[in-house]
Amino acid sequence: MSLSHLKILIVDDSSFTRGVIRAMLRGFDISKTWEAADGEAALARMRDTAVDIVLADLHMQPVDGVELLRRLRMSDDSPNPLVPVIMISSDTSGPRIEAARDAGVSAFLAKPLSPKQLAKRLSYVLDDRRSFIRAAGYVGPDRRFRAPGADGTPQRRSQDAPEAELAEMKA
Amino acid sequence: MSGLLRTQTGQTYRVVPRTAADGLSTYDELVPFETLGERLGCEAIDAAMLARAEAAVAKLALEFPDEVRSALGEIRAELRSDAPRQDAAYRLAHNLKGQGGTFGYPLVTLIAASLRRVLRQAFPSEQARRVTAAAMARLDAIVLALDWGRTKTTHPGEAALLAELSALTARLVP
Repeated sequence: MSLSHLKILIVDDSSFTRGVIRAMLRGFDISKTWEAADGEAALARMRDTAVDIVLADLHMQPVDGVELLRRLRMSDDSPNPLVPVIMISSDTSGPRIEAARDAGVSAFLAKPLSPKQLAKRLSYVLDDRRSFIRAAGYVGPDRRFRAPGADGTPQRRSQDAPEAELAEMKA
Repeated sequence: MSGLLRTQTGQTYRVVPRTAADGLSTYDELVPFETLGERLGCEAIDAAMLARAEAAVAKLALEFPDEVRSALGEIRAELRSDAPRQDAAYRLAHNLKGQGGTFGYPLVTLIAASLRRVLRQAFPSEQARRVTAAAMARLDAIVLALDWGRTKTTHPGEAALLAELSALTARLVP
């Protein structure tokens, strides 16, 4: 089976950018796509339509990518708290990127957008075997490294370097 | 509580209660039975798919100059209005910055980033005229960058243009 059954929601305040992403996805045989101009519209769309992956820009108004993530992961009325979310941003570091990580992002896609990078991030999410963690202050992919420590157990996040963790999600 | 959890899209997880390292707080680990790709039977993105996506981007690149001119018109309108929405102008500049990279206009990206920095500044009334002038200079520079065309190499006039913008900013927005 190709990727044609994959359902993807594209969230970006620029209709032109949404069109660029849609065109790239069509190249990958993914034509089941929906669009939203901000986080609020994305949540409304997801209540009507079950999507497999969300591609969301970090910078949007009035509800940006981080707030969309928080509502998806933590709200009682979230349509799908575990949906993979790929955050698109021209920033590769800084407080907004760390906020996205802490809100439960699945992967980052750095701008400028390219088919090669988009394919890489989609493949990462499709092959992702990480557990989800559902705790009082965090809902999202397990942020521990997958490589085991010396005793064979996964390393705790508190022992991990945040930079290395982010690099893995952006690689 | 242990058990199974099925998502809106049919992905199934085994719910495993855990105790945190502090020995006090608890959380659930939701272990997927299969990856999303395995559940949907997705195949890998191959070279032919990538080539089709690249071709689609190349086709859209032809529309990019019109998209830039349209965005510049919106930014100009915001800056000239009685109550400019700085956020809206900032987001348009932000989008131009990203799109310039996608379509091979590095100078558009560079100047849009500079425009974004100018628009990020506070917009108090006494500085509004200066900020607007600095932003307008960048809009003109983006038009020039478009006219210079799509290139990944440095245009001979690029350094002078950027130096001029930088000097202008120093004068207008000290």
